[in-house]
Amino acid sequence: MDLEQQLQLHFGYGSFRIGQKEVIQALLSGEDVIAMLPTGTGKSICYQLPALLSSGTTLVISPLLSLMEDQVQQLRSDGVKGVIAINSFMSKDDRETALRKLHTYKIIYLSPEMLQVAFIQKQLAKLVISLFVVDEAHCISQWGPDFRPDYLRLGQIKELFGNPPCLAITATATRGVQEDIRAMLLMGRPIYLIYSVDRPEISYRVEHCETVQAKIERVQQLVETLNGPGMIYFSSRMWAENVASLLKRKGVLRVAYYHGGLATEDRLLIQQQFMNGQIDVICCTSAFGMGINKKDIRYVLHFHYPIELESYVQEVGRAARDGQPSVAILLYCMEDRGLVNMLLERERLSDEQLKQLLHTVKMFNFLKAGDERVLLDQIGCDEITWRTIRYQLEAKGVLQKERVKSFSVDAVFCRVREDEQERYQQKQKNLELFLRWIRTNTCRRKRLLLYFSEELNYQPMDCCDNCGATLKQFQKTKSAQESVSLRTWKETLVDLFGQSDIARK
Amino acid sequence: MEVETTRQAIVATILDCFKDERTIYGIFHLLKGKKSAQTIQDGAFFGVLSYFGLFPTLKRDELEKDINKLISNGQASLVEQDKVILTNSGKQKLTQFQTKNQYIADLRGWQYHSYTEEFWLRISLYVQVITHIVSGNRQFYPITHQSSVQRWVKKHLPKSADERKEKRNHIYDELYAFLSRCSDIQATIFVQQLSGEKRVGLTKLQLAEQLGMDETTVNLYHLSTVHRLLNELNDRQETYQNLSIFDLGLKKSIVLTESARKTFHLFEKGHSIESISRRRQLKQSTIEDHIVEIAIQHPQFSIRPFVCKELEERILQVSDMLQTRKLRELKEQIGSEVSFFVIRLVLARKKVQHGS
Repeated sequence: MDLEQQLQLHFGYGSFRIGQKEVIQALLSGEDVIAMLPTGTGKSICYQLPALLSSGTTLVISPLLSLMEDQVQQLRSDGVKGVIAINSFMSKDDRETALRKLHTYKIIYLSPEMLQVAFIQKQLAKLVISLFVVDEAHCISQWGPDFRPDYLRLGQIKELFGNPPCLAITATATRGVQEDIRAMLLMGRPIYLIYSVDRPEISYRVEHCETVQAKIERVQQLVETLNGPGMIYFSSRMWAENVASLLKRKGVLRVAYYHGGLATEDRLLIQQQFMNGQIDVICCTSAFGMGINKKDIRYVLHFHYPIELESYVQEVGRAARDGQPSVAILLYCMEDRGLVNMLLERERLSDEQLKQLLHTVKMFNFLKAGDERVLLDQIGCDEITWRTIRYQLEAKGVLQKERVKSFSVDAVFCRVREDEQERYQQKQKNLELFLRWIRTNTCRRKRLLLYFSEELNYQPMDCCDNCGATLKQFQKTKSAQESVSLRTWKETLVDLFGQSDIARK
Repeated sequence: MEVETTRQAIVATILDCFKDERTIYGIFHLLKGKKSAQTIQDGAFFGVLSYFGLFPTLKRDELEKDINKLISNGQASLVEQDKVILTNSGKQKLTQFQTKNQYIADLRGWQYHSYTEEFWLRISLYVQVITHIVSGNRQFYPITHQSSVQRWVKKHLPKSADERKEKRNHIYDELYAFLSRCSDIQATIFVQQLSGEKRVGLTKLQLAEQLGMDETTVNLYHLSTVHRLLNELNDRQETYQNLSIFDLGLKKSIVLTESARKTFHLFEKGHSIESISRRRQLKQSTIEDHIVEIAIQHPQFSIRPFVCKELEERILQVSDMLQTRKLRELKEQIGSEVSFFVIRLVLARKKVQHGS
């Protein structure tokens, strides 16, 4: 089969990008694959194309709900039919309709949580599954920041579907994480297709600011002088909103904020405005942009840094997808430490909360989904934390499906705490490694690659601040401040409906 | 004096209608769109159903803040616990507001709140899709993920290129005609939110910044325009042959609370209030509430089984004369043999027929 021809036919691309073809070939010949392709390579093609070329159905397990929906919409607008995302956002009616005609879909995206539902497993098991894909596979590592216990069962579930060829794909997995993925998915002898995480077009830079105020001023300065479009990452919604409105007051007009708290329709408008060049700067939280593929992002600033290097690589990887030079600037300030520690602690319940939660669970004979909701709201426990606790309960045999067996609150309490402690220490360690990268005065690219057990083979121009790169080439050449004033509704309507052939009034 | 927000003005409007006959939490439930018999009846009695459900995310303390603001500005005063009336200066201020903001009169919350959003999404997506494909661009990212909306748009797209072009032109013409009848600002807010081939629409927050308004005001303008459009589609179908398909299937014939629906069902089968009360093991007064709710919702529902024409007219006459909706006062005047239920029923029906 001429894969290039198929690629052109289905997606309109003339040639493959690094690693894509190798992954596709391996999958089509029935192998299990663990693939690591650098950010911005178009990882989804690696399973979408084989999905279309296989006779059965492809299951894609994706941990990020919004990413899933974005991909489905994107595929549909590429003209690929028979794609669906089944997740908890769906209305009950839509979900029922989808489940009834599962056999008509070529690609089914599922969240790991949905895959745990017995009824859905049963329906899926009736299909011929030709490919089992785990996207963003680094999430399934126990030690990743996005770990959720539901991933631990993916291997067993895969066997339920007759062990189809399996692809685990990610942009950021250290050796340890790769091994974790293999074990978790019960892969026998997978083919490892590991490509360098390096993005030679991106220049790395860390700037130290004395105070938060100084950092705000520096952001403003950078936004005014750097060549856009660009993104600024924040660790909270409030910060993203505040800095966006500050920039606006300072005359940077084409800026918007974006975070998980926006209504879906607003989210889509902002994304598309950014894609369409109506906005130059996006102030966002990590919720942004998983699904969007804007090619010409020229800079990524971190007002707050994430809790480990993997996330940082993912986020700066949004830049330079067109291969043109871009810059990643991390703004660091001592005061950030407190905030980051808070992020690490975020998912922990207090002793009292945890005990109360366990005592309440103990009172149930059967724990139904509806009960869980009420329970969590009562105690103020978020979904992810609960899933971790729930996993412990299941592992101890206390919870079997919905049935609750009698258990010792103290014993489970200790187990949960131990588990959290272990996880917390690992996160601390990851953070420490990232902080070392931030503080290093040797080549940042080399250190970054080292973290992923790679060596630096090629040092680009403008490698990093420690190699002497400056911001010179990333600066705006002309200071064209674009006007944003509204045109009249009549003009806009004529414009909207296109051409002058209807501008007859 | 501080600038007052549009929401405060709306709250003042309702205060003015409620007088001291309802508590401020009646306003809260109304604006939030609580589908309870009490809220719906009050809305109908006092002629404020057009504000029903305009602020679905309103918080109690936000409303309290609005009221406190009105009081501290001297526009309203507290008569007793949770009961507030407008002062003369407040009334003046309100009249000024209403003259300056004619768009408020276009709002039809009760009639349209349940499908305003879906109707709007149909229009926005349709405009996005048809402008793209007519200019030969078939790859674009839909402005909504809602599958019901996507399916609807797909189903209603003409098949041939010529028809599509024609459709696009017609829709342009009809939108142009409609918007010309709106205020400039209504038209601006409507059009700027739409996405087409070359530009992506603005969010309400972005429009608020551009127009120097708060987001709530932009949203009210938006709702007023969409409600007005829905209204015109009803009244002048022949002018809007293309747009009038956009609200088909959205209109629910009658919106009832679940419990009222059950009562309605039994009533239609010929059960009396007493019998329904017994069967459902609910208080008779609850069933009466349901009947009032049905009378509000269902224009064809006859109230004759409960009240004869003469009595109805007498109640209306007295209510007109006394200028009150306080049931006790009405009852004293009409005669103690007439039940509260009958009075409520008549008043509810009257309000609805006079188009609130």
